[in-house]
Amino acid sequence: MLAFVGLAALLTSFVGAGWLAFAGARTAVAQRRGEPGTDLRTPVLMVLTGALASMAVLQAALLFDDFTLAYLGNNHARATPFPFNVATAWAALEGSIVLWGLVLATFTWLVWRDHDRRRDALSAGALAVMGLVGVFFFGLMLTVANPFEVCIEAAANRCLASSPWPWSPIQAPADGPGPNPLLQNHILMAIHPPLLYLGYVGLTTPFAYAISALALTLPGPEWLRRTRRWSLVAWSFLTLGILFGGWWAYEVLSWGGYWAWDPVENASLMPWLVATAFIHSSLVQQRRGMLQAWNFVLVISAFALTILGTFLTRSGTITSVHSFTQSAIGPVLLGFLVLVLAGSFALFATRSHLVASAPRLDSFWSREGSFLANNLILTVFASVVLVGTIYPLVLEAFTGTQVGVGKPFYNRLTVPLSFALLLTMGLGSVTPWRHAAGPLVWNRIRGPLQVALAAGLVTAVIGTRLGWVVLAVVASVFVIGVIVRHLTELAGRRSRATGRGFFTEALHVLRGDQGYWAGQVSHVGVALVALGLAFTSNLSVHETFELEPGDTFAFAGYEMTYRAPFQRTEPSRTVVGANIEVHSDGRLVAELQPRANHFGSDPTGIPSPAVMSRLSGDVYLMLINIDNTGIRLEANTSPLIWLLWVGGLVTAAGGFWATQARRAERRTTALEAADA
Amino acid sequence: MTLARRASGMKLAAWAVVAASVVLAVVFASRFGSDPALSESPLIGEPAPELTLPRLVGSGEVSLPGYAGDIVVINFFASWCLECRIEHDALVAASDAFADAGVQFIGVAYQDDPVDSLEFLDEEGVSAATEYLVDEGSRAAVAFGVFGIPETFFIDPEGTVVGRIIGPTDAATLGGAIDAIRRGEDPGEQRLGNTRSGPGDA
Amino acid sequence: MRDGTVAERAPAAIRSMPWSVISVVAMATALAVLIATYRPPADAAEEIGSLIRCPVCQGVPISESPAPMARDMMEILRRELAEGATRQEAIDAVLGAYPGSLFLEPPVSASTVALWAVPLGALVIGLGLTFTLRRSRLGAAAVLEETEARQRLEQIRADLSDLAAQQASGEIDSEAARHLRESYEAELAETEAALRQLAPAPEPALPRSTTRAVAGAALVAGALVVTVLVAGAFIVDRPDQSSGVADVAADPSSFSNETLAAVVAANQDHPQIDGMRLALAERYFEEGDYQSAFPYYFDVASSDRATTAQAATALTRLGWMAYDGNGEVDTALELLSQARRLVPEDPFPLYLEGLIQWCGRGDAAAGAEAFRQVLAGDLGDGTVRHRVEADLAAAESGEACQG
Repeated sequence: MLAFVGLAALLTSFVGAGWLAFAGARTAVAQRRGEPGTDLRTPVLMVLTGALASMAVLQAALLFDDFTLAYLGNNHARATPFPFNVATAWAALEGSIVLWGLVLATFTWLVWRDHDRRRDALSAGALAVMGLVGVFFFGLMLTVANPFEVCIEAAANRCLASSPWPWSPIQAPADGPGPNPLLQNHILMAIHPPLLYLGYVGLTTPFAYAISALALTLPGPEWLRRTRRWSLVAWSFLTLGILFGGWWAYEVLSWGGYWAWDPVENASLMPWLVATAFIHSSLVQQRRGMLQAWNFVLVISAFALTILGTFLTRSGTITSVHSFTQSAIGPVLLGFLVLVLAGSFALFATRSHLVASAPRLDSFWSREGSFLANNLILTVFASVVLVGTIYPLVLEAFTGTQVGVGKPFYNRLTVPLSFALLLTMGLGSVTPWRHAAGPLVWNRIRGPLQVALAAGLVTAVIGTRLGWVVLAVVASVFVIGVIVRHLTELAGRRSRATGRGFFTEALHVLRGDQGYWAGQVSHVGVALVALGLAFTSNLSVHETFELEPGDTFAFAGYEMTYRAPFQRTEPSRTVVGANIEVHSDGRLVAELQPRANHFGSDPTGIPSPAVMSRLSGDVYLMLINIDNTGIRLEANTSPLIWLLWVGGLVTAAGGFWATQARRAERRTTALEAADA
Repeated sequence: MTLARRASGMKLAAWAVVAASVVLAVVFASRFGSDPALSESPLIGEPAPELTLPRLVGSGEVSLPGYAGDIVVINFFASWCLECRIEHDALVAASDAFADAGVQFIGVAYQDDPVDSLEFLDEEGVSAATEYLVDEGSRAAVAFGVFGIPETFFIDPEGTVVGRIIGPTDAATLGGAIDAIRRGEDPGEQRLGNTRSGPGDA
Repeated sequence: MRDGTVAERAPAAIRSMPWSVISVVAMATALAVLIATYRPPADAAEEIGSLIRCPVCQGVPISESPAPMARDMMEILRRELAEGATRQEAIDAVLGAYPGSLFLEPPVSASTVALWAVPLGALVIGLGLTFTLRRSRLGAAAVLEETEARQRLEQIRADLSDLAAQQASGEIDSEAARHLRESYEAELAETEAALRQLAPAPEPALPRSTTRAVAGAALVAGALVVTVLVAGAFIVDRPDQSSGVADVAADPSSFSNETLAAVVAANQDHPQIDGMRLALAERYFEEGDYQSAFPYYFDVASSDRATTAQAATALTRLGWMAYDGNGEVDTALELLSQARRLVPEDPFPLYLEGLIQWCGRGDAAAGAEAFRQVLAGDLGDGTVRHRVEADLAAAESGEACQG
């Protein structure tokens, strides 16, 4: 029954998307000529309604344990507790595409809601492009990744065979195996995919506007103004998605790390890097009328990279913790990727005479110059990640040679790039547009520079003299210091001029140019992340202990005692672990339970670490082995790792604030103009 | 450089990207149908590594490869490995069947407490003709390049590694591989199912 | 710094430079010395270990992985180094039997040079492109389109007013501002002149007949998308990455026995394998090759993935083979009754039981009773019923079984 409703919903969206592509293109061309077009309400609402309904059907099936759907027979179990049963809707391939479709439909609807239906050719064209993307994804769900296939042959707790036709004779299993145990292990895994999808799919909107602008020969800055908010929304969600992915890996995967340069992690990092570059370069075009062509290239690349990421995750072309089991979806996504890349760049080629702009950079020593440096660094960074991810595949395809590309390769290239980025960030934020006089910039940075170097000296004397860590302290303190100094300077000057309080004026300054200050909030976040990365990757220590009950050991300044093993049964899983007491100066400060979770009848457990978080960092205990005689325990420290999580959240918060920032006047004058 | 030349340069670059993306797609497409998890072992065709391992059943040590003139089948197993239980009967039967035919079976307990390994053998049965050894410090596993178990290696009478089965093997595959070696062919590598990398591996 | 506006102007800033420059240089030097003279406790094993991917993990080097295999590999590294092995020897001791992809830092060689060359190329090309962005005299003269020219005029006017504001706030000193203003004004004049010479704006490069062109474009794009989807749907599932499963969904009858046996052997883990086993066993059974059929029936009968019907078929066949092949009457009857418990509605096991009672045991009465029960059930078409009826008649008349 649900299968009929679900398929009908998908069909509605599919037809709506096709209609939207067609009617949107017609309207766009008509409005481009100054004629009226048709309202796109019906197709847009069809897409949205269908997408909402298909997700609702899937959730209903999960809620009522309707095992007639093959998706449930393979990924759901009656015992799966809330909220993991909700998250099961995107725990496997077919369901994750349903979520993708829903997010796409929502963005489509938002674009439609916000545009001027009588004369906005650009938005009508963008809606047509989003319709085309919708045709693809809803088509995907109707063919190779159908979430509403019915189960036609069942074993006791698994669906053995399924049929896409809902009227097939149904044989439902009594129960299912449940979602992948790794995903059931932590709540973060329930929210990481939706956040990432909001980011990935969010990049469709700027892409759609870019294609629309090219196709309708409207290459001016208008499409950038229209998409700034959408780019920031997508970028912020992408930031959160990556952050929560790393956080989940840290809390669940039991190796004490959060980033392994895994191909699929790289796949999410690449669009982020390119989107970051775009957010900066689009400002240059809006402000100085440069980089017109480059902005198109960045937006198309960012979108294509999200498709590449989806393809890498789902095609089974590379092995990775993140890979879903493959299906025919691999070739289909690959085909779509080629369509997107070849189609977009072919369109770009035919419009190249329109997007070429005359060179008018006055000086490299200027805000726009720093944005150029930022774009150069981010692009090279993305090229490092791209080549590292796909080159092994290319090499093997042509020569059969296997080559490993991992952390050492990435670190060697990206660490220097990151420091260059931090330096540019610190300098660029306070460099005037068009021309920067040395003394003026020096005046703005010398204080922060002195503080940063002093902080570096303190670190070197009382902390560590490891070069990367000290440099990271200097760079991060410099970035944050420059921003803080700039704010206090402006607020102080206003305060002296008006006689009002300093904080009132600081708020006034912040409110006066929200876009700029939101950006600076993100910069602070990035500086914190850099600090956290430097500390955790250079100063972490680890040690392995073989313990019997009652044994005491010292680690990271704590006295720890292994009390006893324990076993308990929770809904849907059995937990086996060790009770560890942590003492500091003879005082009991924590009881930790590193453990292994056993799901269902699977005899092997998923190790689950115990983490004790303090301001100085985390102590991270992993149970390697447990048997009758004792345990083997791996202990890690992650110094100041909270900087990473806080920094990531601050970065995303800056992005969200920027989306809310008052639409700044296109021609806002320099900040200081008010004081003149 | 004029603006027009700039534009045509851009046009050229854009078409180059179009071409590159098609080439890239072809490369990816060539990966469909191949198993990304199967990495070719550089050991195939090379002399078998030399090792001395203590016995699990009985006392003393066994040197590898110490069976010149015999075909040697080395199987890595552990008590925590479900797939190893699946394949165990086939190995025992094959070991018994080929005992007098110049084939020596060797079972190496990988990452396992000897007490557990013995219990495993107790439950699943042993072949009198098989040597069961303990892999202390994973020396044998590293020397053979084991990723996960079960893995089974075949060494021909000249002491060359000629075959490898990843995942639970069965009578037909074992017999086929041994027959192939007898005929002077290399059975090569094949994957028959899941492997496990450790007790905590799902 | 009393008056911020004045303090931001160059002369004041320059006056305060020496002291700040000296302090910054001094601190930077001290820091550089502190960092450069620091020798972190070098651990060659840790360093090499960070370059080797743990074979049982995803992307984690053995120096960081808690996996026992990684720990053992580190131990081997340490031992080799302690015994005086060179770096390369130590690496070989650990990685000799593993593919090159486990070594995480690709060596610079002919085949990997692209890894390093691509980022370097991106940097060089990017730098080159950046330099072409500098203002040059070609600008305005090369205006291609009216829209472009009008946009540029708007941009230059905005630049002029922004510049004035920046100068007023003291962000740009008057000398620099004068230079900038002059170049903007020259650009403005040139662009205006160019605009006057331009022909009226051509129709935007859009197709003439809207409806047909848009329909065409949308259809082409849509058709491409649909082609991609349909092509994907028709591509046969590739082997399962984790188990190397061949396409088991294909029709077993199209395979030779050997192919089928190989597929079965290769797919022990696949949920559909029992159907495959059964098909293969049936093939052998029909050929009378009980020896070959036996293990496959046995696997199906003992598989926990098999459906009830599959298990019952396997048990029935096993029962018949036990009798027909080995003459084990008791075993055969036990297996058949197990099959009957699984599929009470299927008359076939009962019929075989009757036959075995009659022919194997010589117990014609028990056989006849079984045949009667079979006939009482739903037997379907005539030939089967006819056959059972014939057997029943023969058994009732006390005839000996004819095999």
